[in-house]
Amino acid sequence: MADYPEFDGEALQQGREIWLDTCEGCHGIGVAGAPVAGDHKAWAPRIGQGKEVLYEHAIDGFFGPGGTMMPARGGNEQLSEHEVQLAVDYMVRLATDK
Amino acid sequence: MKHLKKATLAMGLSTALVLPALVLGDVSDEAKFSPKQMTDWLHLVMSSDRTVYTRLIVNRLQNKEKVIKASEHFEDDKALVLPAQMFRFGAEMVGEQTDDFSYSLLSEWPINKQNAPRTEVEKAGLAYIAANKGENYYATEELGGTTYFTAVYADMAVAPACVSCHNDHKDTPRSDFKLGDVMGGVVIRVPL
Repeated sequence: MADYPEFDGEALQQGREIWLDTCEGCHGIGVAGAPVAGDHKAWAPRIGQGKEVLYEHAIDGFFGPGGTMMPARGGNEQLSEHEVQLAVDYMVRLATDK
Repeated sequence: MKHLKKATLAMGLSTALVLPALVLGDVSDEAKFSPKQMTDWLHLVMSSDRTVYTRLIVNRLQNKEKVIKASEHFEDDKALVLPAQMFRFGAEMVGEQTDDFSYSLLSEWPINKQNAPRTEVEKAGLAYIAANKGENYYATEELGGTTYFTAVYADMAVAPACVSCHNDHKDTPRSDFKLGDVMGGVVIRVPL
């Protein structure tokens, strides 16, 4: 498994744990068309839509172009909306960290 | 008639696989690619076809537009075949038409025990791709007096349906799969 960075702040640390448990499986190497974590180019237009859109897509699921599909809550129905948001925050930070 | 089918298939493969290495006027049967290139290309075609089926048929009609479901029991349920079933049916059809190569979908945790690895290379390959996500496994093996080039490619859980079906199936030997996990591998075998 790649060595994913830790960032300061409890929220980002919680987000990292959630992300590693639920999101890394696909976003780590780009399974099923998932944008790879830390790929600045792939994430820029997504982040450009605003975090509320990212939250909504991650919580409710999202059908992307070409039939790609982001499953609701990353396929982990046990995650709360807040936990999904923490994971999104961590992934956004990965994509914007220099 | 089998030789005709094999010839047709070989021509198709020539077009698909050898073309990049050919120059104008070269129509010989001389191999211009390695077994690894061949299996990589075969796998690319297989995985692309399956992805298109998954996205444009199953995801679109079952999950997005909710027109029809996909089901393991597709005949009884009047449903679409699962992507993994489509893949297996293709492998069976190829097996009926040629001995030039074969492929299968195997797993260390098969619902159907017929899909467990048998050869040492299959076992080593499945263990390797599960431990080294994103990498493939290549080896040669001798079976029945013939030497084969065998490649193993990871097959991952790409949709919640893959996870729930395998985790909840009455015959599953493993019930803790998550999205993105390696669930098994595509084994492509070419005689050398």
